[in-house]
Amino acid sequence: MKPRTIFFVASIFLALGMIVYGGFCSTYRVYETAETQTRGGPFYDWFKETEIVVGATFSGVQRMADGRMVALSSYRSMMHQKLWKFCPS
Amino acid sequence: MTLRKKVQILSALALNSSFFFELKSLCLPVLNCHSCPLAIFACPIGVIGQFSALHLFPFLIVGILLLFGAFLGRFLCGWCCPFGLLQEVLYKIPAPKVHIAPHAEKLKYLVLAVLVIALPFFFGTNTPLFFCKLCPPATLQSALPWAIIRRELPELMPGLLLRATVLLAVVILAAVNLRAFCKMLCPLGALMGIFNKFSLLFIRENDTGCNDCRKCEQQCPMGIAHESHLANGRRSSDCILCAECGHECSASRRLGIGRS
Repeated sequence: MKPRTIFFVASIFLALGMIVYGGFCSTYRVYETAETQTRGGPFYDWFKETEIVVGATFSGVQRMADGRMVALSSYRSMMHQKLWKFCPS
Repeated sequence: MTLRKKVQILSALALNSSFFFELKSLCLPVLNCHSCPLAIFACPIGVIGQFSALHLFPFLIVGILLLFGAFLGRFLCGWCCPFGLLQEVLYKIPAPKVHIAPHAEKLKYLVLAVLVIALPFFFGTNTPLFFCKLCPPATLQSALPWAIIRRELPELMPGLLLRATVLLAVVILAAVNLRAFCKMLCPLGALMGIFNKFSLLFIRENDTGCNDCRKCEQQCPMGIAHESHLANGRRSSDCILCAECGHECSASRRLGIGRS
């Protein structure tokens, strides 16, 4: 087999593995906090990677100085809306 | 109007027609800002930058890019990217046309490494030089309309001023050099170009038919020299598979599957 074919086949397997893992298996612990708080509250949830991707598009999930990932408490309702106010710019 | 132009226009409309549904947990390898409420998909560069700031690896998005790249290479850059279409329209503005030095085209790798990955990783997404804070499609699709609608232009200065300056510079560049942003600055192009080396879909030619007329170089919107592309089985990472080179080619260049 030529190197080009090997790279192609390996890419397909790697891509499918990443899509299955990222789309269905990987979860991250995200703390929830009120909009006025600066640190993560005591409550946390396991967010799927797909939720983090949606959150990232709205800057709905942020990393704090202590390394914890925090989402605003209103995040879950925000991510289902399509409003200009979520523009990260 | 060519088939490619029709596909580009339809894609630009389809990618920004999120009136009834959106799929922002997925992405397509085109530069289309996900902050625009009309955008259907997430922007892969925006997500990679945001994940870098979160110190996470975006398995799903990288997997999707890898899958598209392995099958199509940079095909979507040439046929579906709305910002690519805009640059091709801007190039029709009567203006002096200039040539871009080949080494300047390496700048896009630096943009990918520094502005998309390194800066948000070390300083977070609030740093003013994070790619999304400067991204011309984001300025055009989200930041400027949002600022105008909300009438918050003064409050958003000087960040918006920096964005608008970058956008203006890119517009001028696109008017004087075809797809200048794609050639020099697009981090997604830098990433997807890697897959051109082994993608299933690519430009094919009949080696024996080439009479070295160099008409393909004149037609190529990416300004790729014949020596660095297809000759001796080479594949350029800058090729966007638009197949413009095949229009007057004696070697019957066309999009094809398998060996080039």
